[in-house]
Amino acid sequence: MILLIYAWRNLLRNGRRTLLTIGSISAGLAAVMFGQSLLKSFQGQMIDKATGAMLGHVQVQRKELVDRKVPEQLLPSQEPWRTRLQADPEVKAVAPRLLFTGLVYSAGASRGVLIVGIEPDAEKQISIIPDYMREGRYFGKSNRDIVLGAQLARDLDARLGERIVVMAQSRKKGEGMNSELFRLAGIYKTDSTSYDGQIAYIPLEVAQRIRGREGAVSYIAAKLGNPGRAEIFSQKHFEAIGGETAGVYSYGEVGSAIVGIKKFQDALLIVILIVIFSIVGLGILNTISMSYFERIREFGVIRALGARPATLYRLLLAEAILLGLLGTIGGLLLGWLAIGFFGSVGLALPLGKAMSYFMPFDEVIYMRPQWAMHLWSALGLFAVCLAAAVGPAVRGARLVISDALRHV
Amino acid sequence: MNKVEPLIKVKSVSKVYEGALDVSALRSVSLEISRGEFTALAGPSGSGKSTLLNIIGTLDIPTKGEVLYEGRHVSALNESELADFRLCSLGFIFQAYNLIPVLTAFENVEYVLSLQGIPSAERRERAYEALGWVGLTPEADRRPDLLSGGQQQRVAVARALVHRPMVVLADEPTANLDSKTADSLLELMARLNEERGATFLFSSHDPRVLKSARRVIEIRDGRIQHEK
Repeated sequence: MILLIYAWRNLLRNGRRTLLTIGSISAGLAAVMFGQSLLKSFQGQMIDKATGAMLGHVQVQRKELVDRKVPEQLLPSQEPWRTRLQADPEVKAVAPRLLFTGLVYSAGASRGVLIVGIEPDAEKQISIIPDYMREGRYFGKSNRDIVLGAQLARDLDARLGERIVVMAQSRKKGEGMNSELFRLAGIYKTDSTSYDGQIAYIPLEVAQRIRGREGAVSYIAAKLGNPGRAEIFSQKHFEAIGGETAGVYSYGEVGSAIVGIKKFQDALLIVILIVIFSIVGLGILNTISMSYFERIREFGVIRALGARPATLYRLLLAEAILLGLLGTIGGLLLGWLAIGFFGSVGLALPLGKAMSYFMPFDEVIYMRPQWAMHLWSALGLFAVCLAAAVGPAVRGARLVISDALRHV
Repeated sequence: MNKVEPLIKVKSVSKVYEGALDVSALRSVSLEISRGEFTALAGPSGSGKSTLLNIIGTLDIPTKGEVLYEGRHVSALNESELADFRLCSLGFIFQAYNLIPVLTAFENVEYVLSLQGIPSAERRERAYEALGWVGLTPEADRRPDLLSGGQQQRVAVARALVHRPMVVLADEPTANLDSKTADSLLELMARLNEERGATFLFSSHDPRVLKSARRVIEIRDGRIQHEK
């Protein structure tokens, strides 16, 4: 106990220096927590939006595909894969889709777009596009409904209820171009250039007819209860659900760009972490070293009185522990307050606007604490504090008493 | 009849400080100190008395020769064993008091007992008792910066005696004190020597201080000149 009292009072000898050191540990940890929360909240939204808009958490699709995002080879039918997916308790919803490129015409203009054939009722369980409807409805009972993005509707100069023709190359031998007539049932607006200007949603059955591939789908997307298990789920059920011709692929395998961005950001976070830890570590080293050099004579006295080398070692470590403990507690508090603040008012990021070119993405990020990561960082920073004290502590333990007593 | 071993036996101790120019601080010094002595090492500055005290106190290692406590070689002990030996057998009083500035007078005295692992209640009792010997119980909760030089040195005496060491080694204990305070400190040390049987070995170059010693060993140029 007297060791802790002694260590604590030693820290108070130079209160300003101690306060600055504790402040730098706290600020360092809070900055790390802020960075972690910001990136993870950003990544969380990125994955939510990407999986919600198109990818799903997992997809069943053909094994031999080159481009898994818009598969060339189709599943000949939804069965048996749809039934197998629905039978799994981890799967919350499934939605089959048929994707192909085609032309959409209105009375006044035409555009080349990605046509997505969907089952509206199934899609409502898995897709976020219905949440972005601005005009009309997200499909009704008619299989002649078409839903377009706001930009595409503007490009086609089409209004609700007006006629839209979809035309695409049939894959049935002997058939050329097929076309079907639709009525514009709804317009969505996600603020994503790609989604608002380059995609048209039509009923799956009609899409299959245009494509000349009745019953066929590009893939079956599934939503899991726990998105974090997508990788494990796809590996575990790859053969059991996929069978011989198909496989189960996670969103990371289908949308590899997302994984690339995530990996890049994670690497960046590690670099930031190392930089901050190094700065804080050097700060602690400086404090403990200065405090050591100021007290060499005193350490000589303590050793002369009969303290073992380990006693000095423990004293300097106890000082580092107290600094680290107060710094990390302060950092956790500061980080929690900052994250809490931006979690409630949100943080507008220019990066959000850039991301929205590719997918629906909110510009304002609502930060959420990542406690597991934060606590690991706090432990890491605490370990850095201890590591920084080891040098002076070892020096203290090895000092020559008679020299130390002569030290001025 | 068995010969009684002296408390401290210094056998042909030499100390050379190596450097660009080697300095011989002690040249084959031999002496014996018996239990209960009140002995002074006299000599001018640089004569080697502090070096001899440091070597006797195991704070420094002799270049040649050895120091025995009750016939036991201390030079064979490792760092931790030496620390334990000092903790149990020696008490130190320094010229510059050398109290731990962040601890109170009581805590400074108690600290030695805490190093010995003595339970808190006993530590408290013994630390207050030691402060009582030097008449500083009322100042127990004051930190060194709130004590006068004489009071600080009395705390140092209490700290040196609280664990009942075999010998108290004091290096110029009165050098930083005015003559009145120095006299009262010497009186205190002499009283503790008589009442508690504590062995004192101290260094000084002040003739007034040396007068109070019952045995004076004079050192000059690293050699013992004579004894009174």
